[in-house]
Amino acid sequence: MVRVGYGLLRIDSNAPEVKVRIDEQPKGVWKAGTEPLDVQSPSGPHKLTVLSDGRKTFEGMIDVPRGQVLPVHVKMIPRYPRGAAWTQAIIGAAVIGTAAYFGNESNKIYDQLDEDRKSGRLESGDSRATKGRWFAVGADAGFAVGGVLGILATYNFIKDPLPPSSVRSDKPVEFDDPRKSQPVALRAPLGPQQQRLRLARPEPALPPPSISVGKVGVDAQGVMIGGTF
Amino acid sequence: MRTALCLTLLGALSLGCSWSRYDDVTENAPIVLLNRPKQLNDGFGSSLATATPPDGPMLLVGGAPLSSGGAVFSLGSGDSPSTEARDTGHCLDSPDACYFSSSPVALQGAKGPQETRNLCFVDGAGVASKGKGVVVRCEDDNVEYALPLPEAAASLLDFSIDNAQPTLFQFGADHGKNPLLLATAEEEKGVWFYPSLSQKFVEIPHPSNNKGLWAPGKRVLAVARVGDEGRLLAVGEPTAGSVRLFYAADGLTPSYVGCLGGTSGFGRSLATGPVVRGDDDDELVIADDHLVYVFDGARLASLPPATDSACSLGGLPEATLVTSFGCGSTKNISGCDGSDFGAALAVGDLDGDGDGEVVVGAPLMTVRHTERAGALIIYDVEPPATGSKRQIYDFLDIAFLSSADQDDQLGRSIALPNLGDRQLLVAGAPGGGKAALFYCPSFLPAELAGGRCK
Repeated sequence: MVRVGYGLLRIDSNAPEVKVRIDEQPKGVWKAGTEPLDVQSPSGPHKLTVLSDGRKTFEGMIDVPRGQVLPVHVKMIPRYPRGAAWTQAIIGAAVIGTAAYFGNESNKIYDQLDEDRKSGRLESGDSRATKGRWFAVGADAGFAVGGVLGILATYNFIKDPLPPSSVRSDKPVEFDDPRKSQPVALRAPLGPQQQRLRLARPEPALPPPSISVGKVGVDAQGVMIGGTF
Repeated sequence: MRTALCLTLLGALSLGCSWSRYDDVTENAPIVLLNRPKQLNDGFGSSLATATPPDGPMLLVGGAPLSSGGAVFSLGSGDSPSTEARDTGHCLDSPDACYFSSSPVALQGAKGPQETRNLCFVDGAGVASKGKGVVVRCEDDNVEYALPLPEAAASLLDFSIDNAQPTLFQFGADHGKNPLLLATAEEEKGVWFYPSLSQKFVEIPHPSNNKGLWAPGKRVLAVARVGDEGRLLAVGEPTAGSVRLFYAADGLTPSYVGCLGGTSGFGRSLATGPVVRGDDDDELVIADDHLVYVFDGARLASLPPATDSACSLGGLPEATLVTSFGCGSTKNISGCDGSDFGAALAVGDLDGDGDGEVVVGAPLMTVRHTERAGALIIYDVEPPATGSKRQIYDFLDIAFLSSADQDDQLGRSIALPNLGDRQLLVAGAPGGGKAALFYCPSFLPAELAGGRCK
């Protein structure tokens, strides 16, 4: 007997909804609470891409078995939030923009003062000098604050403590194997103690079968066997 | 994205500014503002007077006439003046009546109560050392005294003091040693003078009035030096548009030599000083409502005694009117119409070349879009072109405050203290309560430019 040249991927995930691509070709969408998504593909290694909103995209190679069904459980990890980084970046950019304006104004005032000095028209205590000095202080302070915010934003853009999305495959099953697994939503495996507890739990007692012999009703005759299961 | 962010950050940081560079650029600035004494809280810079005794030039900066007083500053010989007043006793904080003039003058050599003084300032009229008259305060030892007044002026001053009604006295003096002091009271009908080193007045009768009385009203006075002892006395009556001239060859007995005029506002400001090269005699500079005229002082003084009282610029001998010039605009100043061009005048050798420049105040000029900030326009008078006897003038420079404020009115008053090798331009901006020393005009030769001009 020869196996067919294709297999099935039976895909489910922990995410509410995932889009599945095999070798960059869309193959379907799986939603939580529905049957696993069966994707037929020629046997052999293929690139599997699983996407979900707000979660890290999974990309990896998977080996499709010949004439078998490969249950694949995709664990989609949420993307690390970047709100703080964006906030820092925006505020930093605004502060640096303001600082650049102050710096430009300061430079303009300085140029005016320098030109007036060269033409002999600059007076001691020129009020523009005080204004320009404060602009320069403001610009430098703005650049410092903006720089710190920029560095923080960069760090927070780079920082990602969460693992990447991953897949776990079960043992392939035959196409017509009645014992083929029906993948369900991922559940943490039971620990040894839980398994022991589960084994030790007594089966609910069945009610004993009831047997009546002889006359049941007022006028009944014969034998009746009754039971409850 | 990270690279772009880093580049942006670096680019922005490269725009960082040093604030200490402002200290460098403003240190030893070319223009120095004198500090206004706290007692002088009204119109600081309304008037200026200067003289140069042996210990360096002194400058009197006056406040609002009649309601304020003046303070004297020592300017030193270099470019490091004292910006704090050394004497604030000029009609300030005095228990006696003292009516500060709008035209105080400096007397480099004056007859004091006991002895001759090196430097005194004529402040106004009032009471000094228990005497009534023209108030004079000397810098040698801050001694004050009062010069006697003609009878009519004395009566006016008595009335003013008794009724606490200030009255304005005006003065003029030449710029040399032991000057002649010319005086008048606007509400009174007399003009008189004090000869050099004298406390005795000599009255000047009006030449066209049988009683010799002058018409009440604003009068502007100036004295020009002609020859060793000669003085040309000029009495401007801007309301009438005329300037009457008297010449005293010996400095004691003036004779009427004529009347210049004929244009609107002629005589509203006067100045004297040597303008034409190769001539030590003073020229007489007169402003009307639009133009500034430069007259040769020696030629005016040589005019024969006049019998005609008419006022005109016609009929003057050739080359007596040296030149005349009007207002002009540049990219920095504008608004000649209504600039009050000619509100103040001064003559001095600002570039040390031996002849004088004419400085004209335009206190209502717009400076860098700041209205009524005021400016000073400086002209040089060059020798006549070949074949012409008319001098030509050359626009030299404009002076204004770099951070001028609206209504500063720089140029209401001008003085030119002598620094030895050249004269320094000083101007008052009473609207802003400022008095500014301009050390670095653009035409200053490099060898005379000090540290402030680097």
